[in-house]
Amino acid sequence: MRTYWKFVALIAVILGTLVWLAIGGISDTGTYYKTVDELNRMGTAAVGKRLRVAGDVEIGSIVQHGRTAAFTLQQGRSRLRVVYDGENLLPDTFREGAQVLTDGRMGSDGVFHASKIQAKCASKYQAKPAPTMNRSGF
Amino acid sequence: MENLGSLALLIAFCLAVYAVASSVIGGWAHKPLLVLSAKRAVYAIWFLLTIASFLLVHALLSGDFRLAYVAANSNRAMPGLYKFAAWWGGQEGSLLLWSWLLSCYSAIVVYVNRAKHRGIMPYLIATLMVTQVFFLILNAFVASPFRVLAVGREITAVPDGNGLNPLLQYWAMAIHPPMLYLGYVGFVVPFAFAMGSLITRQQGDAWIHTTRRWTLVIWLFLSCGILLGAGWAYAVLGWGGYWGWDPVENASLLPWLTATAFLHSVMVQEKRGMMKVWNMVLISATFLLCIFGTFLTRSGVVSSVHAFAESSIGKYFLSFLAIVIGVTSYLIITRLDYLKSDARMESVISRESSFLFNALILIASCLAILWGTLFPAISQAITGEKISVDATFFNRMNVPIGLFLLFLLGMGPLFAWRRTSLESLRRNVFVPGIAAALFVAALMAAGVRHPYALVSFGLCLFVIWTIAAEFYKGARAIGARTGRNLLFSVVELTHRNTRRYGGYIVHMGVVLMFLGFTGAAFNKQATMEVNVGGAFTLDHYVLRVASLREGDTDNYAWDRAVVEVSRNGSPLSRLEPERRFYKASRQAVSEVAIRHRLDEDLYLNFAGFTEDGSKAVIQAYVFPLVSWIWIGFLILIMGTLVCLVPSKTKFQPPQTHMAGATREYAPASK
Amino acid sequence: MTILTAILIVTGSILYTLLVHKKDLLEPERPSPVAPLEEYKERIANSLRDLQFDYRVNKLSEHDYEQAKLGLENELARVAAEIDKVLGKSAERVDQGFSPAQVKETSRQTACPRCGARFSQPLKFCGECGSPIQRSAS
Repeated sequence: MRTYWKFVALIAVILGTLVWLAIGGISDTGTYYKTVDELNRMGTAAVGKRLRVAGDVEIGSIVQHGRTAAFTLQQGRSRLRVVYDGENLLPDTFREGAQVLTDGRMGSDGVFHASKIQAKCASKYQAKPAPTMNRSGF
Repeated sequence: MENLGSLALLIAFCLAVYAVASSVIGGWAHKPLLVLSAKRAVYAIWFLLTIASFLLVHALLSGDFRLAYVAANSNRAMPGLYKFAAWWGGQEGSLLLWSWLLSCYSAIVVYVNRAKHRGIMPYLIATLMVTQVFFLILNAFVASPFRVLAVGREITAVPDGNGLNPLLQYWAMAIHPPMLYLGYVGFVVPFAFAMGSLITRQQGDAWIHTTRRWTLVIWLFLSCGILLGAGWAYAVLGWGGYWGWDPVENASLLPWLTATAFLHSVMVQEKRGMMKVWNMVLISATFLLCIFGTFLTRSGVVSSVHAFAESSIGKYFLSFLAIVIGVTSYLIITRLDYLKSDARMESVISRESSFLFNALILIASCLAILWGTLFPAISQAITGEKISVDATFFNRMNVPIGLFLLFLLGMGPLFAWRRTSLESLRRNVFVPGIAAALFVAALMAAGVRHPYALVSFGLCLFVIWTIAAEFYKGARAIGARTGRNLLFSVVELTHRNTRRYGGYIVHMGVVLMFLGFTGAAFNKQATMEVNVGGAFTLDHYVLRVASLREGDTDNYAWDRAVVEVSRNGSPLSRLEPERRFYKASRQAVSEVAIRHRLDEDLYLNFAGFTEDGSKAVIQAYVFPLVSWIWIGFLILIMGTLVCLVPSKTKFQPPQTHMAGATREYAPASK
Repeated sequence: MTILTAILIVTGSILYTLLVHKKDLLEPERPSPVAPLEEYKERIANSLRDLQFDYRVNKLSEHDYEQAKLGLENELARVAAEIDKVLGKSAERVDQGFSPAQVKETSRQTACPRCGARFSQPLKFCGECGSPIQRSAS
């Protein structure tokens, strides 16, 4: 019977540690996913939160200075101005009309400050487009 | 021709439904003729699906752009290999590949076992065919590869197709999806055997013996598929990594984790008749996760730059998953008495115990990854907010799990079945333990401070030592008996128990891979804008852009940066990263240049030009120890192959014949 | 042309599936009643071998080894006796297709209680494992 309790104790310790890591991990890195529409409707409540926004790059809106870029994200009728800090290079698929997922924080100036951009080629139904992510993954 | 294809799919669907019905009725009502008819149906389905697949491949190779699928995934200028690979480049084609592979596996399994396993054969066929029915519904009705482009009532054709995504036009990418599919589809076979034995409450572990080699081979395919994906991400995609914890990557890893747990826990069932419920759950989970993985990449449930276009195909997968979960759970719960253990755990320091913890931790990793991957969907369902997590979360969870696994890898071989004595354990741990501690101290003295990395390096040494010691101790024992040299003894040792020692070789490969993973803690990176003739430094390398070249092919236009690499003044090599612009899809792609060495890789990405076109933008990375991942994997493959070799036939204990005594044994029925 | 091929393929497949005759059936399986027991016995023999090997490479203490070995050998004898019992019961059903070797076994007169080997002559010591055999055993 004593062996049984030893097992229970060990398993409890392992699972407990993992749950603790998981909760910490989610609260540290959890990023709210919003569409442009939802973000605009949030108004000032959005300022400061870690957010991920999806939308399409508006044609003609990309302005690049070296590694940083400013562009407008659109979804339906809603628009969002985005400024990317250029920490990593822009992905190859990032261009006008592309579907983009961008992570960052909403500034109090109404401009979204992006720290990460993932772009998917939206021009056609793509089978398994590769992850052209601009961050070092592992 | 496409009508023939559609017809073949339709008839295959009807036959599959028939096969399910006739095998179940035949098994339940003891009508062997019905079961035979179901077997015939399995072969006929294979025949029909082969025809359908052949027709699709033919259309792709010959450029029949009347078909919507061909127009979307192929183009005239593409090399033949990639036209063939377009078979799995898109949704409909890859689903057809799934079905075809399933029909191949089903036919092989039914044929090879046609005289064996009579009791479970009907339910074996039924399980295989239920899966087949599901995929044929998709193939024939929901996502047909033979759909033609039509305007009004006219069939139109486009002059040229869109072509395969240029990022897929790489040899490893031509192999990676089929390899993954070989794995995903293959796990249906041990699952079917498990269901068969569960339904019929078959006595004994026959299904485990029969499926052992099969499961190992399928596991190997899946492992290769995953590693090919990682290798491709590293060598081609240019974001300087091999694993991004992207949902689709995770989807391939999940069944691998439960399959690995399963491969180990079945040994406990075979040796001691324990962990039977675990094994049923693990093999079912593996199968379900394979289906789930196929689903995740197509449904748009989680956003991924990998995903196919969001399509409504997801709900079919979810229904199938729900049905399978329901039936499997019902079967396991109602047969818990059949799955009762023959013995109990006697000690925490025993081999059974280490397998138990191994299964536990692998499942924990699987759940953690599943949780993180699905979190956006879960959080949306519960709170209405879609929250996603990124690579940091997954690393945070999996690094400690990986270290615990390393620990088990090292301790496992030192445990005996049932119970290990503490003194022998102390004796066996002492020397490698001290060696590992000294190694860690030496690393710290050399300036390494990263805590996880130190633990990892220490454990890696510990495991390498214990595995080598296992071979040495065993070989010496055999050498003492046979009087042969060490090398012969090692080979003999391995041959006498290929499962155990092949397994140790696999573990050695895994440890080397962990060594490679640990190197990532020390990665370095620099991104610079450089003129021709200019140079910059990264770590101890000096990188000088010697020249820029450009050119043109039918498929793409290219720019190349010729970079000379030197260290401490002496030239090392020349790397030529390239940037391509594919004409058909109008997409820019990088071809990275890598200098592979055992201690570290130097990795260059030519990211293009600055806006004014005057300077080249070069991204340079140093990845310490990364080559050990690929080396370790090759050793893993070799170890798996060793496991597949049959052990030397059970040698009889020395026979002493007394005068006048004769003896005959009835061989155990095989 | 295509229509002809289509008809051939379809009817061929359907006919192949449905036209099954009794003569196509394989010989019915004759499961040996001792099969699971034999399998179990083999499992014990393997465990014994592993145990001896583990002891030789110093994973076990002397005490643990002896204790485990005794337990396994007792189990082996018990299973061997069980097999005898089952085969003994079926001796009169010899025409039901049991292999000649299995039938021969039941006519052996002496069995070793330790390792289960059977011998046609009464023996004092087992020819397989060397342990003493009671004279009156059968």
